[in-house]
Amino acid sequence: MWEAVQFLFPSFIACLTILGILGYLGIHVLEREIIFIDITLAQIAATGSTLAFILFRQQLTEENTYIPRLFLQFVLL
Amino acid sequence: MIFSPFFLIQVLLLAVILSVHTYLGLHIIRRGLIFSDLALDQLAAFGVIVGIGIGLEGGTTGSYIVSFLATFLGAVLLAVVKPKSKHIPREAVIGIIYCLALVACLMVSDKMTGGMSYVTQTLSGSMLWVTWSLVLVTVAAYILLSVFHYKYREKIIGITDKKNVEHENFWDFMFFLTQGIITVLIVPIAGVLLAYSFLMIPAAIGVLFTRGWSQGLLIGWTTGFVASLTGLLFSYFFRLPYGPCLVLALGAFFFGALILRILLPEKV
Repeated sequence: MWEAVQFLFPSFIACLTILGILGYLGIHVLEREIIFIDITLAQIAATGSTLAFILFRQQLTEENTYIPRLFLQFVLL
Repeated sequence: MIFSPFFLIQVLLLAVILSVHTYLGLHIIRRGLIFSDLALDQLAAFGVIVGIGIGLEGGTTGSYIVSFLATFLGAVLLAVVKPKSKHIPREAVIGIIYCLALVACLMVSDKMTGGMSYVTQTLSGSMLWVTWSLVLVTVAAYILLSVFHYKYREKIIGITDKKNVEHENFWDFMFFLTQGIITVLIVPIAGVLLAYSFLMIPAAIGVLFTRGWSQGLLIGWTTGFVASLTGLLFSYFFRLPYGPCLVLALGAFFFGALILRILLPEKV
């Protein structure tokens, strides 16, 4: 039981943090009626991750995929 | 090779699909319910995956029935759930339905052997492997639905143009139901993403250039057909996946049309 709590606790905290930020951004999205913007951005980010994986497979760490992802997001926006 | 029966099937199928999809797409765009089709497509895909889970192979009558039931539920939800608060757009409800349908697909496929491949298959489709019998069923169903839409065009176009129509909820439901039937027929063939592109992109191109229904249909269908043929040839000559090539070609034509729209004077 304790192991399960220890294992799940970081993801629980991550969920709370994400909810806190996205809950606020969600209000803006609803007010501006651009409902599907997030799913589009998330998919663009996923494209960036895939490209990062293809291009930098050898040097790949969690962090350095952020750069191609962000780059693609800005290019496409 | 270009004029082989294999290519003829694809070209005929593309022409038929685009005719009805462009017309329905014009309605969807003018109603501002852009993602309703995506939600219905995903529910149809959910039905296909559930069908496979209970032993009904995709493309069989049983699979179509399960898929239709899931889509019917979606059509009822789309027609009934209209938030009264102006702070919650109807599109938000549609987005939530889409998200839940996709997650339901992932949950069900998680309990099936090779489940993820079914999710991928329902997303990208298998247009390449259609048979003449499937094409004939699709053509027959599309002709029937075209006749229905032509006969009751005043009612359904009336609702889209925000005119007063008797029994508005009934005709609204009938519109979503026909959209649902087309969805059930097209998703096992084309997949969710291509089905959505067929519906939305040609119609969006039409709306960019004209306000009229028949002109919009003509521009949308012609551009969609040329774009699809380009995607078909691109896929053939560069040996790339067929469905995604069609989506990319349609997308490229849409952005080309956007540029043309900026360069051209006012709409006709």
